[in-house]
Amino acid sequence: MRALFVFLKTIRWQDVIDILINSYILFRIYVLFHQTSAFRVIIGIAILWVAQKVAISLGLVITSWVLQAIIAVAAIIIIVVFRNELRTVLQVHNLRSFLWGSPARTIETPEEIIAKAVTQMGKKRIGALLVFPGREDIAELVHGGIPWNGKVSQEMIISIFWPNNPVHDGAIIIDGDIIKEVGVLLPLSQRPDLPTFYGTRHRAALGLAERSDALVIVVSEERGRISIAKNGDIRAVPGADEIKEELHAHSKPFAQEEPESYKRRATLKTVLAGFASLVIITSIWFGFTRSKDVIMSLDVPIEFVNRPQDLEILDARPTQVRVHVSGASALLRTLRPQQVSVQVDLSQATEGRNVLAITQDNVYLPPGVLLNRIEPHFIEVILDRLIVKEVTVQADWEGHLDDNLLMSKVEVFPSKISIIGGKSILKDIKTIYTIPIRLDTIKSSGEVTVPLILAPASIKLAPGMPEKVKVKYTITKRTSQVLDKKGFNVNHWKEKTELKRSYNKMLQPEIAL
Amino acid sequence: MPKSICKNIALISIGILLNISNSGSFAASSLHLSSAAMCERVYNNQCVAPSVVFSVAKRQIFCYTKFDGFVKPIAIYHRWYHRGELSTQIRIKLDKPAKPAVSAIQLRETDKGPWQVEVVDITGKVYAVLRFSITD
Repeated sequence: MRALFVFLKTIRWQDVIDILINSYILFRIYVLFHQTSAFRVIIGIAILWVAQKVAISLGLVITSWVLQAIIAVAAIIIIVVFRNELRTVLQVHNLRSFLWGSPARTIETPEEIIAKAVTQMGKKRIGALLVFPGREDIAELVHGGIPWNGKVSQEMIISIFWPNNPVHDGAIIIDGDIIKEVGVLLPLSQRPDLPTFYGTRHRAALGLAERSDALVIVVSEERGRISIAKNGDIRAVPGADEIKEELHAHSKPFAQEEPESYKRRATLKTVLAGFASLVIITSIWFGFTRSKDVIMSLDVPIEFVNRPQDLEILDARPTQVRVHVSGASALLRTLRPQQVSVQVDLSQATEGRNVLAITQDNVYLPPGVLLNRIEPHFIEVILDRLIVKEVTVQADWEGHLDDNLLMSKVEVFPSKISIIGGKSILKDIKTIYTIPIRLDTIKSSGEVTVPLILAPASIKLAPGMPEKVKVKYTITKRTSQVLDKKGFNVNHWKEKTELKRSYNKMLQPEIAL
Repeated sequence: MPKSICKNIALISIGILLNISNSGSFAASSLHLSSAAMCERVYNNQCVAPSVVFSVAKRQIFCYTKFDGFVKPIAIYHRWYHRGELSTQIRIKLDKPAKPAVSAIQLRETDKGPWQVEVVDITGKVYAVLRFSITD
């Protein structure tokens, strides 16, 4: 008793809610799908899943693989094959009926169907004759019938008696919810006191009612009036409700199941399903959370939160911590590193080196998983203050410039630009570059607008700074090259020498002065 | 004036004036940077083919600077930066104003990209920053 109390004490209120929510989900799945064919396949898959777990525990490697494959395929098959059925179930008018209502179909009894069909035929003036045998056998009294053995439906009854249908003149024999025969000929009544407007149909109905305990419904083709013949008497009935009552009273001794008892059975079935859902989920829950306790280690990256806006993280060591956790083996087997997080609050951190403790409060674990240890207990975070710095922009070139050309001048507009970044990062940055500009296509002077490359990624452009700059370049042609033994352009130096001489000549008069 | 002379004067002027930046504060000392350029060759104390884009196939490039305004020998430095990282620093002794201060580096495939050469004196004063690229 004490052990039970101790055991119950370990269950939290969250666990109870957990079980109840999942039990209800399972119960709702049953309620919504139990009348569908897909449900039977889902049950089959569940059985296969259990069988696969058993196969794994028994060490049946191939069997477990095969079962796993079958489950995967079956899951796809359910969605593909039963998509229409599933869609019908899930297409509810509102959320309430999805979460609470029952999709139970409205069960229409054969009496209701027949009453409706007869009333319809009366309105449309379609003559009809319907025989409902009692305890007595009427096989000797009727003849000429054609076996039908079809399920009773409003449309089918009307179509049988539709004018010009080959069997519309005869009677139909209905037993329970089955139309046994059509085109049946009934014995005619010989009573002389019948009203003159009663035709052959009425006489036939009364004829059989006189000779047996059968109930016969007759619909007049001329007047559309509905009459019931029973126990040698015939009388008109005003509406569908009366017909239903008469039929119900006639079939009561032979009724297979009362609607009330059917409803009771359905309610009992639902209650049992709810209880079964609770038992299944409770078992699964205990299986998951109370199975053998194991210990596991995870390397979890550290997440930094609440960083002051004017500071940025320059360095953090280590960037991840090892978290030792324990819990039920079933829970830890399904545990993914993403489910565990370690968050460090930087709201109190200052510029420079910060040593921060990692405690239990920093570690976020899924329910049921317990924290044993964290390694290391401290991390070092270096924060840097954000500053704005003006740097020079330089064009970056790539490719190959034509050997006959020289790029003699490059100007960048704007030539300087302000960037924002950590003080220690920006300390060494004096230049930022454009994206590489291709030289291969350049044949003459021109300009090009290119974006800037901000590296490292932590630096940003100051507000108002353009993301692109204009690069203006000047191209000059090389003079014709005749190389001497040392590889120098002879012509170039000849030209230079001439230039120098002429320059000296120009300067000479000034020197003389 | 003949057309070819005009052309050559223009080329030399480009070579002298090209890419001189941060050259406005020479007044602090008597040392004065009169010209600076990046060249494919230096021949006869002259800069050959001054440019801002050099093919790695040239195998060697030169930083050509010329100072005046000093009376006794003085040292200056050419600091070569590749993508902002100091690649090499070359000390050059200035003894005659007419003689240019030239440094050079050998080019390798890995040297492709943007470069800068800072021209500084022993106090660290920057006289000019020459910017250029090494390409295919």
